[in-house]
Amino acid sequence: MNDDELKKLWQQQPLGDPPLGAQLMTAMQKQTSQLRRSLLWRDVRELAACVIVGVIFGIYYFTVHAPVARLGALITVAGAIFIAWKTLHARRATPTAKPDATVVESLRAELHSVRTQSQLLRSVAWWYLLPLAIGVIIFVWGMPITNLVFYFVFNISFTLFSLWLDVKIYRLNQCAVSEQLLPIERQLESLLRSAETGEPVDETHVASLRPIVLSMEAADKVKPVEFKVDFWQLALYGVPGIVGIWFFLMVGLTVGSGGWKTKEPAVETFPPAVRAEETNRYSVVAQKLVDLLNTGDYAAVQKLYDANMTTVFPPKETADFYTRLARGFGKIDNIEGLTGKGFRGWTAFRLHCQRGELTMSLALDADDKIAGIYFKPVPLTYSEWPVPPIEWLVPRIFSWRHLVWLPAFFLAGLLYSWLLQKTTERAVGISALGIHLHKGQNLILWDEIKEVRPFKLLNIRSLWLIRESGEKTLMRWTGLERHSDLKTAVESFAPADHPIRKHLSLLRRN
Amino acid sequence: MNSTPADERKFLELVDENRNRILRVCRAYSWNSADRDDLYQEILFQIWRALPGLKEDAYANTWLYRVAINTAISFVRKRSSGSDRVVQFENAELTRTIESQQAAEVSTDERMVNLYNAIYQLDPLERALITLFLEDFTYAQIAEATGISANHVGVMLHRAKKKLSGLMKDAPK
Repeated sequence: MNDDELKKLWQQQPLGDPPLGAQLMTAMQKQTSQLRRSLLWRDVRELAACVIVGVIFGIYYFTVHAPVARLGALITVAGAIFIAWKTLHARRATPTAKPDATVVESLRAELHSVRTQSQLLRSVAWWYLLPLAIGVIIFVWGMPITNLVFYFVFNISFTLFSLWLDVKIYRLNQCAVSEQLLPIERQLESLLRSAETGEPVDETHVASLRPIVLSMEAADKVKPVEFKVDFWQLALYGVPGIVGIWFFLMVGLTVGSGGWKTKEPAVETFPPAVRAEETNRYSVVAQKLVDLLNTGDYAAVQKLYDANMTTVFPPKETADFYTRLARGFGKIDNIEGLTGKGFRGWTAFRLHCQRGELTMSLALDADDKIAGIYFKPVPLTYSEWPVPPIEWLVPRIFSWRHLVWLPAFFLAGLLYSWLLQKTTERAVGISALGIHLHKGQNLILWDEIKEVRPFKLLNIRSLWLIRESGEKTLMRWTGLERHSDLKTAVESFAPADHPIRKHLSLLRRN
Repeated sequence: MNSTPADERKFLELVDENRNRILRVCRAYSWNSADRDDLYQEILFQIWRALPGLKEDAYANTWLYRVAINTAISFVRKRSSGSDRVVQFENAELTRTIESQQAAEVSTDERMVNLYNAIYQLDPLERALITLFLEDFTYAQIAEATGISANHVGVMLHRAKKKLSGLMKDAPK
C-alpha cells in the first residue's frame, strides 16, 4: 500500500456516532464542575491532616504548663504549618501544561512535575517526618507524669514506635520513587529527547506505553472473576465499631459527670491530722477558708484578707474568682496539709475537690490575715484516676437517656459498612489467564506458577505463588473475601493439574 | 470556565466539524471500546477547557489536533503507569492474540486490522506523527502541532513509516 492508499483507508474508515448538542454540553459542564470539586478536595485533603495536627497541638501549647511539652507542641505546630506550605508550594511550582500546549511543552511540564515529586519523596525525612517526630517526641517526654516507671516505659516505647514508623514511611516513599516515579521519569526523558533530537526513543523505557497493556475489562475471554465483599462481612466489623464508640462515649460522659463522687460524704472525710493541728495558725485559717468556700460565703472570705489583699482583690473580684473555681473543681472534699512550700515559698495545702485537685499556697500577716493566696491545679497521675464503683456505673451507662442514642449509632454503623462496601475494591481477580493481583496491575499466568505454598497467620489464609525463578508473590485471601466465590473461580479457571488446586481446602465456606 | 452561549456554539461547531478526526485519534491511542469512549470524552473536555486560548479560527485544525494528541499521549501514560486497572503482558503469543483482538474490535476490514495492529506497536510519538501524516498534515503543520522541529519531523516520520510498513508486511495473513 502506498501513502495515498493508506491515507484513504485511514480517512474513510467507518466510525461511530457519539453524542452532540445539549447532551454534550451537559457532559462538559458536569466535567468542569467535577474538576473544580476534585481540585478543591485535593487541597482540603492535603491540608486537613496538617490543620488537625496544628489545632490539637496548638490547644496543648496553651493548656499544658510544662515548658518542655509546650516546646514540643510548638515544634509540632510549626512542623504542620511547614508541611502544608511545602506541599502547596511544590504543587504551585509545577503547573500542568495547558491543554493546547505542544507535545514537547507538555512532556517538559510533566517531566518537571515528576522530578519535583521525586525530589519531595526523596527528602521526605527532612521536611515531613523529622519536624513532626521531633516535636511529638519532645512533647511526650516533656509531659509531667509522677510515676517514674510508667514515664520511662511509656516514653521509651513511644519513641521507639515513632522512629520505627518513620523509618517504615521513609522506606515506602523511597520504594515509590524507585518503582514508580523513576521509570516514569526515564520514560518522559526518553520521549522528550526523541522529540527534541529526532533520535529514536529508548524502547526499554517506553515499552509499557505500547497498548499491549490490556484493560481488565478488555475482552470477555480474559475478564477476571472479581470478588465483592458481602455487606454483612463488613457490618460484622463496622457496626460493633460504631456502637463501641457510643459505648465509650457514654462511659466517658457518665464518669466525667462526677456524679458518683457527689454521693460520698464530704465533711466526714477531713483528715483528722488537720483538726489536730488547731494550734497551727495556717491550718486554722486554711480550714476556715475552705469551709467558707464550700458554703459559698465569699463575703466572709473577704473578711479574712488583710488590707492590701482587700485593695487588690475587692469583693466582686473575690466572688467572681471563687465562683469560677467552684464551677471548675466543684466542692472541696478534703484538705491535706501542710504539704510544704508552695508558690513563692508560701505554705502549701492540697485541696481534694470533686473534680480534681488544687495546691493552695497561703501567706499570712502577723494578725493571721491572708496576705497572699495562690491556687494551682495538680495534674493527676495515672494511679490517681478515680474509678467509680461498677454497680453505680452500669445502670447509668445504660440509662434510657443514653440508650436512646443507640439506634442512631447502630444505623450509623450500617451506613458506614454500606459505604465501605461501595468503595472497597478487592485486590484479587481470577481469570482464564491467571491470577490478577494488586488491583489488576500484576498478572501471574497459570503457567508461570510452578509451586504453591500455604501461608497461615491467625485466621488469615494466603498462598505463596512461586515462579520457576524462585520469585515469590503472596496472594492474600483475607477474612473479608467470599471464599466460596474464590473456590469456584479457581476450580473453573485453573488448569486441571495446577498446584493451586491442592490448596482449595484452605478456602472455607463462609 | 464560565461559558457563554457563543462559546458553546463555537465548541459544538468545532466538535461537529472534527468529530471523525477526533475519533480516529482515539482509536489510535486506545485499545478497547470502553477506553475509546473515555479518551473521546477526555479530549472533548480538554478542547472545552482550552477553547478560550483559540485565537484564530484559521489555526483551529492544528490547534485541535494538538489538544487531541496531547490528551491521548497523557491518557496512554496514565493508563500504563498503573493508575488504572491494567495488566501488562510479556508473553509473546498472548500479546499477539490480544493485539489482534483489539484491532478486530476496531474494524472487520482486514487491511484496517493490519494497520491498527501496526499502529498499536508504535511508541506514542511515532503514533502521533503517523496519525497526523494519515490525516494529511504537512511537515510544517505536524511540527506546529507537536512542537518538534520540522527537520526532526521529517526524520522521525520517515522512520515511523518504515516501521509501520514493516509491521504491516509481517502481519499474519
